[in-house]
Amino acid sequence: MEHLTNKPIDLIAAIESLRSPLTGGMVIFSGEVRLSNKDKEVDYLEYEAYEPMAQKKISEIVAEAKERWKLNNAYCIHRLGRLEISDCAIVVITCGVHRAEAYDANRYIIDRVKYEVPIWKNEHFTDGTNEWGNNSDCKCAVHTHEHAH
Amino acid sequence: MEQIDIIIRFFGGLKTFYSDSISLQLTKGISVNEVVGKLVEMNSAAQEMLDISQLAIDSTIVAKDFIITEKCELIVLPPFSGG
Repeated sequence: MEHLTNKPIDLIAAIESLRSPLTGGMVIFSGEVRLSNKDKEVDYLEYEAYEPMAQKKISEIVAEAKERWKLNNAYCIHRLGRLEISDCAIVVITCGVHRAEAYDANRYIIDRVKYEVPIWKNEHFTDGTNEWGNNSDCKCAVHTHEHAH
Repeated sequence: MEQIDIIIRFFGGLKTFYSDSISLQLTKGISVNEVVGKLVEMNSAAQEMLDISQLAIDSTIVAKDFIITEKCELIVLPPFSGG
């Protein structure tokens, strides 16, 4: 399964491809490009990856989540290249018998992808400056659950 | 002393200090840490970011004391910012 793409992510197609009569809860996370960061107006983002390692690492994380939560299915894809405001940068979909495991697994996947997968974001601001991101200072990621690694 | 070719690829913020990649001829048996030292010599402003970067060969993270014995591509991975 491809986990990296230079094309817009087709969220609806992804959801349809993962539907199963065994699934009672499907959780969908879409990470999107927001207009502002660090009190500056964002113009657009560029993502790049060390692709062989990123592909392998996401695949491992998704497989671990599927095994740990006994999911019917799990999916993660990250966009690369230039993204405009409101574009989707990453989608994580987890499908469980019940919602609890789908929620937990979804958060596990996105948290690990942010910290462990070699992908980098370059934020271009409307004032003409740009800055490479660093998830170690991200206030939104809460790393509280126990990891298998 | 036998020399080997090491291609070094940079990502993220390290591209601010170096180009996308450089090729160095270095002594066989050099450690990854010594290669990083060469990079600091080339651009000391990159030291802070190099200190918090990971290194990889063939998609696998290697320790700073890893000894390089053959031609390879060394990937320098600054802190990640995907998602």
